[in-house]
Amino acid sequence: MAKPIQRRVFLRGAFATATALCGAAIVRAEDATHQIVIDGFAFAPDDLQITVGDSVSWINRDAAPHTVSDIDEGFESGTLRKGESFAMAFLEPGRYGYICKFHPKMKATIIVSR
Amino acid sequence: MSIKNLLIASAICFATVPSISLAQSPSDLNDLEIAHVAYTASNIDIRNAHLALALSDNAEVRAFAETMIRDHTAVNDLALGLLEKLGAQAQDNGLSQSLNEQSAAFLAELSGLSGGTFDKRYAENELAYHMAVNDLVANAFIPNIENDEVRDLFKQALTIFTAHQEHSQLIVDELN
Repeated sequence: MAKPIQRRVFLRGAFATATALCGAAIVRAEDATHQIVIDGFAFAPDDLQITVGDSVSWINRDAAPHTVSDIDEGFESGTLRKGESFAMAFLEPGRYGYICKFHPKMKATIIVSR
Repeated sequence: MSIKNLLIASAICFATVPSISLAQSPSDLNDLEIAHVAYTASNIDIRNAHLALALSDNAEVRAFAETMIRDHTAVNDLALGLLEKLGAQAQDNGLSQSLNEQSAAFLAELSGLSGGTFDKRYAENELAYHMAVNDLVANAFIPNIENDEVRDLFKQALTIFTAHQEHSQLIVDELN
């Protein structure tokens, strides 16, 4: 089931586009941004707990392209080449499992609480 | 276990699928020859993957083949970029030529197969090929590379090829 999210994509170091899948998000001053590094064919951390309104950004440090793909198809980074980033805000509580579509052993989870 | 013995052991382990027979000791190669072998090995896997996309209807096999093309192309692009930065060119050598000869024979065999027989042969070869190449990279190439940047690139490549080995093992298990 797709969940409401706000997605921001950073490509090649430039802030490229902002795509709201379900309305605009109110970004509070206290909302935090968390970074997940894709390195060595793993997401680190692979288990992240955040609060509603927080943002998460992923950066690919691997030579191989990867994706950040919600297993429930709520969000999708597209192909991230080495050095490319993808970011989004989580506006609904829940458990978000995601994978790299290209490499099935790469799995991780984000838990969003109020 | 010496590198030579390790490689012989690898060949014995995968006697039912193509393994890498060596016309030249890998530990005798210089950095530019090693780079050529790696580039050649990646291109061989890309060719195998294109054949899989042409002949296989299995979704998992096709997804794996697409990943092989994507990842090996990325590694080759990085290698070419590094060589350009270093002002150097990869050097052809006996091991690269041997790999290409074996690849041509395997592609001829593979192109005559279809359906599940093709998928199984392709996947088993991918597993054996990555195991043999990973042995070469880890035990013969990385310890002998002199340039730090080239060695770092090979360490990155080994991470990728190890993931490919694990991925191909999954495909083989599912097809069996």
